[in-house]
Amino acid sequence: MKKFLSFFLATACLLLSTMQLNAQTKSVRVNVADSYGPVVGAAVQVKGTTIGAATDMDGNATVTNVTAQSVLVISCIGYTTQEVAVGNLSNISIVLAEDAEMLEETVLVGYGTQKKESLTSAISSVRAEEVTQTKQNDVVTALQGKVPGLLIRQAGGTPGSLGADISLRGYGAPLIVIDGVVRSNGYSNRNKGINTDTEFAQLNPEDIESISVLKDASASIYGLGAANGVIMVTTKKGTTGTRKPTINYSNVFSFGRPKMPQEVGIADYLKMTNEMYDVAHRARPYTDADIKAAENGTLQNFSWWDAAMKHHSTTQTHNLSVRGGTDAMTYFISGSFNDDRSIYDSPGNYWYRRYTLRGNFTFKLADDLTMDYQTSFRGTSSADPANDDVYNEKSNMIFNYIAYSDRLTPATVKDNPNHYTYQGLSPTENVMAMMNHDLNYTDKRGRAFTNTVNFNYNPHQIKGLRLMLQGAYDFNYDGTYTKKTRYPLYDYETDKLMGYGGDENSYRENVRERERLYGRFQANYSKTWGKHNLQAMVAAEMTKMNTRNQTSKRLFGDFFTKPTVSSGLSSAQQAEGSRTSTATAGYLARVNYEYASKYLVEVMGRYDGTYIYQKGHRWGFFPSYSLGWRISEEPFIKNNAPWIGNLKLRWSDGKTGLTQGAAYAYLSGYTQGSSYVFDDGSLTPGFVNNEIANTILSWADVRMMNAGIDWNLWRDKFSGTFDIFQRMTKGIAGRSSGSTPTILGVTEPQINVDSRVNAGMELSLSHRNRIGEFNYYVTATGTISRTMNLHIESQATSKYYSSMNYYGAGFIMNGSASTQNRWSDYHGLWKYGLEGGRYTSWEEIYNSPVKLEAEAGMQNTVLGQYKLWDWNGDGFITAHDVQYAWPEANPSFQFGLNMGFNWKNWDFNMVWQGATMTSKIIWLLHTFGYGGYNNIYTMYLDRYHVAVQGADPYDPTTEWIPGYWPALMKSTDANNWRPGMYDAPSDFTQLDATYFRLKSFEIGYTLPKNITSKIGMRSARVYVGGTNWLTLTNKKIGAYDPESAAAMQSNTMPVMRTVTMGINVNF
Amino acid sequence: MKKLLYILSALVCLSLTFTSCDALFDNLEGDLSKMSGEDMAASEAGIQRLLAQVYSYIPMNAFGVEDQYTMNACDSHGGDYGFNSNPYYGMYGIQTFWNWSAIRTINQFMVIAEDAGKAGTLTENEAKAYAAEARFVRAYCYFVMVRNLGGVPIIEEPLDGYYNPADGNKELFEKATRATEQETWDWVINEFQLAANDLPETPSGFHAGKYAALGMKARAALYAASVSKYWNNRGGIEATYKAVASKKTYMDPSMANKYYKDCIDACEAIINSGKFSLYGANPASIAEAVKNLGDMFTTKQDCEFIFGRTLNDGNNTSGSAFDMENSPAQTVTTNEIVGKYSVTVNFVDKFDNYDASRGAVDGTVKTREDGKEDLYFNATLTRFPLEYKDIPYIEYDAIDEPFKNKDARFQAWVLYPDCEFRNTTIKIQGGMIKTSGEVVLWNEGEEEVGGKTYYSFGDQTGNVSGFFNYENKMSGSTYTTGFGLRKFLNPQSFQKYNKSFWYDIRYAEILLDYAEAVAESGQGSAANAKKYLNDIRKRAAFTDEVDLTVENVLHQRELELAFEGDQLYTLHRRRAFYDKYADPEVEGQKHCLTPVLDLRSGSPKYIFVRSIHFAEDPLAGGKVSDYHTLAKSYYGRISDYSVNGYEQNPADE
Repeated sequence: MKKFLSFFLATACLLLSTMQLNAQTKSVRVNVADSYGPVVGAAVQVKGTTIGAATDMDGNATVTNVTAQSVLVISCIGYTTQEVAVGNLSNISIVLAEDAEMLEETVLVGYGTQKKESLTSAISSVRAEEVTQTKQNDVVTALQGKVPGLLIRQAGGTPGSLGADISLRGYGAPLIVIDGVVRSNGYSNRNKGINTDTEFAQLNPEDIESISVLKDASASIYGLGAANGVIMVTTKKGTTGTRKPTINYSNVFSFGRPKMPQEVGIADYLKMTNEMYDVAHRARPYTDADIKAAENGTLQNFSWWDAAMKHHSTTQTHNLSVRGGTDAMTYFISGSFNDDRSIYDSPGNYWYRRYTLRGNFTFKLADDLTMDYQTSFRGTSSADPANDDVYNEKSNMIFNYIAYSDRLTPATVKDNPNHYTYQGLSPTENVMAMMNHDLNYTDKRGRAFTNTVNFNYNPHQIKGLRLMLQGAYDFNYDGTYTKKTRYPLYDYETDKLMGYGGDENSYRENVRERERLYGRFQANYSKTWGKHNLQAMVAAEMTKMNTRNQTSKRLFGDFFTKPTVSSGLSSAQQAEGSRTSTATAGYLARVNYEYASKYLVEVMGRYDGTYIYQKGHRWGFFPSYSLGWRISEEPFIKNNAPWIGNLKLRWSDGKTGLTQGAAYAYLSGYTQGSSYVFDDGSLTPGFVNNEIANTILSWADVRMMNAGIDWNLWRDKFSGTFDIFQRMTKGIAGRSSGSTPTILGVTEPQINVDSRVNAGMELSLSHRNRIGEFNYYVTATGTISRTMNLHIESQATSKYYSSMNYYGAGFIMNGSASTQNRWSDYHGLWKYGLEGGRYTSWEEIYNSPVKLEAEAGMQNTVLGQYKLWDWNGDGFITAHDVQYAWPEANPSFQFGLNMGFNWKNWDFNMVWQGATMTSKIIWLLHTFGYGGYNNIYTMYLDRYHVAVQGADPYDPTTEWIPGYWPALMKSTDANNWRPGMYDAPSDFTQLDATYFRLKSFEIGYTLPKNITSKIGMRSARVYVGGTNWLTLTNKKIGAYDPESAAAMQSNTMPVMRTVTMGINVNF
Repeated sequence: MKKLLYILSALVCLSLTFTSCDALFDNLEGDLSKMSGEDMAASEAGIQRLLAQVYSYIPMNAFGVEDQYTMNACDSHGGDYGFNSNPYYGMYGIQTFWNWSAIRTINQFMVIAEDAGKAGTLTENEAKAYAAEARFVRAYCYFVMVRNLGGVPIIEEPLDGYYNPADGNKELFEKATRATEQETWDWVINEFQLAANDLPETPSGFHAGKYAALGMKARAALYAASVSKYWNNRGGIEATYKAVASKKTYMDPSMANKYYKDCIDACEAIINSGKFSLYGANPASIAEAVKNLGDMFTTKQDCEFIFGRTLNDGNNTSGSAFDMENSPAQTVTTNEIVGKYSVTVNFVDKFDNYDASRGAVDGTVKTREDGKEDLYFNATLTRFPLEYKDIPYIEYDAIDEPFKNKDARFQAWVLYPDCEFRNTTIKIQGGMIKTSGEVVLWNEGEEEVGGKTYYSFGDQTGNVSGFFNYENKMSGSTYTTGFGLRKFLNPQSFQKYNKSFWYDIRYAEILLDYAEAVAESGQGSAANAKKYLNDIRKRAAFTDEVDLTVENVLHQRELELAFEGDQLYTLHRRRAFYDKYADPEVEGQKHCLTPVLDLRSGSPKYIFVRSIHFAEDPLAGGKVSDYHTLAKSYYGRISDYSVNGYEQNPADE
């Protein structure tokens, strides 16, 4: 950590120390180190003069022209400044002590940096080593639990799925700025409802120097699009003053296995299946002889889990970087390789690979002019089975199919391992064939290039002025190649052809290209006089983007030749293509004023333009301001309570915009509609114009307010931040209802009419201390954020006439419901309340005063079923009785705990993360054991069941054994997928999914200096750790994962539990 | 260097300042997905594209499955096809249309066509014909609306000009008034006549021509006439309902004859044009009739074709899934669910048998010596193994024996056990009685007798098209009633993408319309009507004649237009759905005929077991539906009645 800090601060130290030479007679060599090793970039200055030097990579600095009377001041940000008398020494060794308070150096803010102490906005910064201490393939997941205000949910354990959902303060996905350029890639929706910016998520974590999260009005400097806040990333740069480059090599090896559901033994499976059929009044599928055979082992279980999954997944990451510089230039070059092999034992499918290459160079073109050139390349490849699952999430589908598959029918034919067996699944598939890359795949290839050039000019003529000119050109290419084939399926015993699986033979290519052109001119000015400090910035920027999308596909009939489009049948082809171009521009300015370092004011504004709207409506002005008061700088604190290191009150308030509606909605035009065939064999495409040009819709006004307090007491022993925030969004696009008769035949244009408020708080507490050589820290963070719809025009006249209307959001009955003035995140799901108790006898079921179903009465009710609450008291459980529930989405209340220590050469850290106000739905009938699939998890052993296997469940004298889950029940009719209220969502299936999880831990050992130096290394560290090792959660969630995104069938691949290990060496 | 930077900065400043003039935005490519109205109307090619959109709105349910909502057929897997109606949501399967954006597009097109005529893009006659096509489509849309919803607002112009949110859209609300049902029917019938006046006699391709419009006029008039005449069937709808009181859903029985006359007029115009005739009107043999009746749906016969559409769009990877989904499992190699269209024995019984001289005799399938063909087992057939010995089943030597002498239309359009189709013998068998007397039903079973293996499903697994996987109702791919649909299926091979044409109006319908209108009203020529009715029978190789009675016309109509979606609407317009309360003795249930191989005698014999279809039998986990229709349920629900201030229809009032 220290090592890294040294790199990071080298430049800063140099800038702070002024170097001039006076005629003197002696030179002294100073070696500066801390408890870990050399300190790079420390300033060594002769007290009372401006003479000085900075330490190099080995911590050495040579100060010439000193006298014996001189006192050297050795300082570096992050360390306590020390003084030493020169005397007659010519070699001085200094060990600097860490100054925790001083660690809070500068922080990236929009279009610049700022001292943390003078920040007036809610900005969190994350340092590189905080990101890399959780070993995850994607940066978003690695941030979990570390930044107050960032709500992150990991969607599952699929390789390369980048399925972490990120939301800032519950607003939504934030804007991503990488190295000063907005590089949001648009948020993909690969999993249902999952927002992941691929550009951000796929950054090489080792390249990151720092991350800043702008959470309040400070984001509005980025204009339209920044309404959800901004995540700013800077990558590492070269270092100056070093004689030779630092070469760093590090790796991560990770071995993972999710917490897999346990299936019951084969004999139990047969028995429970019979039990299920008994309750459903259906003939038992298995005979006593079958069960006996299963018990004595003659009837073999085929474990699809074992066949389709490996013991563990393996992931490896290698990272090599070279960093250094001369007076004329500095450089940072890194390359990384990431290989993620999934848990699925698939021939050729299910892997993800990423290569990154980055070069950051700074050239000193002249005394007062530098040029940065930053370039990066990222190549990604992945392969998945080609099946068009509704959620486009193949792993989950396979996960389901594994559960579907018949445990008594192995994957391949008895005496012919080359033939896949027919499973009787619908649609006809065989899991092992589905995973076979030879038969089908969706291969993806991504290529991303970024190029940024930045000129920095500090004219001597005007002190404090800095001019910057930045330009960037990025190019992305994404190819998706899909091969599908139809494959034969055979009977396990007889090897007879039974049918075909897969899809008809076809090959499809989709190509997307995107380029971004960016330019900015910026001028910064800073001036200090007396107790006044002024900083000002003006800038103008523009972005232009072009995207192109092209798809072509051909069928192959009954013979697949080669996977190129041209190899297919020219008579069976499809092609699509589209192109868009966009542009935005903005002028921005910011002024910071500081008096005596205690009264802080910031005012900024942006005049922002977008292509989306028509001329005259494209430009908007978004101002904001913030105030700060550093109470700790006041004499009455300084003099009376010196233990208060820092105490600051902050307030910010500002406006930005949120784009509404589609681009070019102001133009009314004809688009391709439905076509018609007038002449046999030739299609006439139809054109239709079903819209009224929308010339009035504009962006929604967003106002973000934030009040915060920062404190640091007893020198880091107790520091923290507390923020309370609100975001008001007015003018969200909406339609009025009831004001236009439908005979008009056209949807009324949207108007800026709806409004919504997000509000919440976040807290971060931290304790840091040193006892002898034992340094430790604990940081706890927590965020709660809620969303309320204040006005929904289309629902303004809706009445609440049932509980469904009252609470329901996504479930509209009888055309009327309103979520107005409701906390929308609180009724993301609906369920029935429980009356208390459950049905324990048939008599009780037949005589129940409340009928569970209006039509069928109690005919589908079984023992152990929970009694539902008849909210409106009409004697029937209907949609009018439902209650609200926390959704399964990214939870609104999340917390994290980050702690660690270091002692001598050892270091340890762990990150805990958790969430509450979230639910997990267990749909019994979509679930193993309840009629859905050919599988039963052990969690369902805890069920209502007859005491003696085979006893008639409908005989009132039959003895039952109670359990948490109701009696197993096979749906009586496959058509009637859900027999009545059997698995109706209620408090017993929609479980509170509050969890607290050990996200990662790591133990590291840094080899002693004397050993590493012998083998030519500057430092070496080995570590071992893990992710997701411990989860505290509701026991009833059982086989499922409380955090992972729930597909409808609750069968998402759970997050991986991994062991990680690796080394990190510097040469 | 510095100089360079100054220049660069200045340039950037300048260029960025320039952007405030929106040049940056104006220079973009813009929206590449839209065409301006002027560009569309500037050429005939553009106008044709707009016309394609207009045609696409025609609510013509080509290759629909409406007959599955009647007693005549069902989804093999049960599906959600109750017979009658849900009293709250109108009738299952009755098509509805409530698309005002379509009406707006059509009205706009009529203006565009007229303007194009004035502008010279089209000649005046062309412009008139284009407008008439749109008028035809609009009337078609309204026909579907009025048939399901009663009177609706009649909108004959684009209403954009009246859109004025500032005054609460007062004018629009004034126009949003439902016409009475009678006004709407009158308007629809008249619109078809107006369209017919301007449409060409011989349209190109699948465009609507004069006779398409007249055919629709006949259809609409017959509908209006039937609704009027049978308004009071089973008591009619109480006049206390607002929509009835205001005549939005009301037809006066006294009007029936006027509408029958409209129908007769339109039919006569078509028949007398001499442009149409029945295809294969005089077959020499039953076999020839079967061939003709099959070919008619394979190759479009222009003598019979009045209006319709085609799914052949020139693209090999599009079309409906009808052929694939409904083809018999034996002829399909795909992992989709197939064999979905089962034909009930209720319908099969209605097809007459030929006597020796090709006259008609009762065609009810004979299964028992005692003639008690109205006894049905419940769907699970659990009682069958216990009772079959006591039932005097007729033992047939061949499984296809009871069907070989049926109406040519049955043979051409229905798949029955052991019929030949796509060079395959279609195996439909549901069980076997082994030599020991053991009964195997719906399960795989086999027995070797005399060196030959017999199977419960008629053949080995994978080589059968009926009853296999019967228990797994959702994913079964075989017929579950004993019969499957054959009409519309490609006779050579299964088509993943069905590209066939569809007769929406064919000449046979016009003849039947005429016969019905004459039989019902006494207007028109009774002699001609009788001739037309028997022409239809003659085409099916019958040589005898039947009298012109309403019953005979409806019988022929049900058989002739089998699976074309007509029967559902015939029952609807004649207000003839089963009513549990009015006819408590009638059992509204679909029935299956399960062929069972009987090996008891040592040589294979076949018996046929009548049972209730599982989808209708609660004992088999079938749907517990409310099997009745109330008179008020003949009208569907108007979805947005409250916004517009309409009277809601009776069932939902």
